[in-house]
Amino acid sequence: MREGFDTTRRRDDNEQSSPAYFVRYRPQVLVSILVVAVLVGGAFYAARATEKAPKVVYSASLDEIAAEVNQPLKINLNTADIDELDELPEVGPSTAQEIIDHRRSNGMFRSVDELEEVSGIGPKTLEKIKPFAEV
Amino acid sequence: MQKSETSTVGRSGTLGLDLNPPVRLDLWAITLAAGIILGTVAPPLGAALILASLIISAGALYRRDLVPASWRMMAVLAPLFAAGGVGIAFLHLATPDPLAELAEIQPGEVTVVGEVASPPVRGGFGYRADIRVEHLWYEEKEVLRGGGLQVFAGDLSVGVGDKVRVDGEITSPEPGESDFDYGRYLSTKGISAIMYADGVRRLNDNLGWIGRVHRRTDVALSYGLRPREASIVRGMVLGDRSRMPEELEEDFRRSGITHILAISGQHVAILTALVYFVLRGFAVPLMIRNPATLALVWLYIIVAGAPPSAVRAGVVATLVLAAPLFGRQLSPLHFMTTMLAVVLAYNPSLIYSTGFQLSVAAVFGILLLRRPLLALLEVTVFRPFSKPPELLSNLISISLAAQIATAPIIASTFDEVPVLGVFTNLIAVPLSGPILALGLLASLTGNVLPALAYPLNFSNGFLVTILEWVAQGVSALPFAVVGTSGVPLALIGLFYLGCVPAAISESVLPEERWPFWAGTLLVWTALWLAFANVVSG
Repeated sequence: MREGFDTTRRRDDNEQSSPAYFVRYRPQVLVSILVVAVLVGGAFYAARATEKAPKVVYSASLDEIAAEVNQPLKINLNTADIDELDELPEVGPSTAQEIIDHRRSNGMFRSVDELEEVSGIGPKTLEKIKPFAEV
Repeated sequence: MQKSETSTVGRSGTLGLDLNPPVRLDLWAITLAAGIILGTVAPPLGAALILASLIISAGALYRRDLVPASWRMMAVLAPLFAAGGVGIAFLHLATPDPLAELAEIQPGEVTVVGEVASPPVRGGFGYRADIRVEHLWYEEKEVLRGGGLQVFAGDLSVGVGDKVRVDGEITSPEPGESDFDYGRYLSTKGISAIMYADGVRRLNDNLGWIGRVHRRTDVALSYGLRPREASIVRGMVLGDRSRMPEELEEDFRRSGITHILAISGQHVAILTALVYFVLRGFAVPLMIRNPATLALVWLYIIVAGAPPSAVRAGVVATLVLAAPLFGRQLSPLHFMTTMLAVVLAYNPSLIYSTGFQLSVAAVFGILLLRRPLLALLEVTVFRPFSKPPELLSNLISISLAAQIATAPIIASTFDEVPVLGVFTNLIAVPLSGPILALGLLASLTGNVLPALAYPLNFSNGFLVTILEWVAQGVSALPFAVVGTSGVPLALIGLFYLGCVPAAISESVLPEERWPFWAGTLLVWTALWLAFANVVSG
């Protein structure tokens, strides 16, 4: 009788219903959830909470920074002189002069993308200039 | 980890967490690691992995005969691990990096106070070193704390751990030669920006303790070793190759033995074994011996700058030494996948680190290919011997397995593969153990009493000279390397696909079939290298 009882208790997994299956292997389920939770927690700590992660300690608005540096954050391609244009990335005095010459012969720039028509400015340079220029 | 004794699930006093039947969860770590990798490299594929695991899970719940009974729980829980991995990847990807954002707008002059994280090496103009940022000032206001910078300066007379003030301009890393993504490479080390320094000043006379260890090691290794030999031992002991002449580094690379200069699993294994057996010799009990060994191993990893390959090996060593403390069996393959899950959860960008890729590929290669290759050697090279020399056959099979598994990564990263590495490693690997052990002992004793370091360094000088000769001799051969520039990712994937039959042969095939698949693997590797060579032109 005892042997038969044990056989009934140790039913094959395939014969068990889903809830009974989970109850039987509750430790595995709980430890699996715990392991994933610990690793996600560790990832959160490594990414955001540790002292090694960069954090902003002073944030200023763009207007505030503009006021501090006392000059506009972007250079207007239609009004800038040669010295201002010279400050753009990858733009030297000769390219700055080319921009002014282009402006004189073709009129005002309608978009920053038109800079690509200027001699000495290719697509890669244009991408670097874009964040710092406006029309 | 597997429990050392099979226990019935639910038996009082145990959790019943065996990986043996009736429940097998062996694939939890590789599923989670796959989630992290796909979530980082190709997020849509991460979502696809979750979807696929959900389908398998639902299938396993409702069709009980879909997967074998012992794997049913693994199938049911697969979405938990896959989603956990993808979630970890997204958590890292979604973390803002204000230092990188600041560098992108090229704000001009900034002042940084931080700690030197890597030994200065020559590069670009002057020297470069990594700095852990503690404070960053812009326009006389502190704007940032934390993060990492790579500093370029004309003169960098600092050591690891020194606190420094650096003034200069920060900017984003530019792509390197052949469109090498330098920014992504730096991100694997937690570096967000580069800084061209006008000046670097040590803030006080109190040097960082790691820097002091490096300097003392330099002094200790100078007793009785020529600078060239000392630079090799220094590279092996501390992983710091900044003193090595470039042509010597090139010789090591062309002869396929650069790995013995990096702080790798081999180093950690040698140190672990050294400390472990010394403590066991003094009859230190297990409960003290293993934690003490682990403490010393991790101290060494930190002093060596915690390179990814050493961290990987450190995590595996931790699992191996912790297993007996908790009454668990050693399961190398499961430890490796667990290591992958843990290390990638901490820093998913490590998958872009060549050092980490090589380290992981080499160990998986050894675990999966060694025995089939050994079987092949026994029926071919060692057939005339009634009893094959065990040490030699093991050394060749391990070296061959590691070389095969790392070949595509080396091919795509360094544009050439050292094909004679199998033979040079037969000499270099056995030599590296004593060189490392003597180097460590000389570093310790040289700090106490220089006279003690001389005999150790003299002996080491002889071994290092042999190593140097081997590297130079093999490197000079015209066929030492095969050119493989421009290997596409698809070709690398194809190579590993071709390795699958040999890798799984140990698990699914009878032993007499192993040599066939190991031989096929060798032919496949040779053909792949030849094809990669043709593709490279």
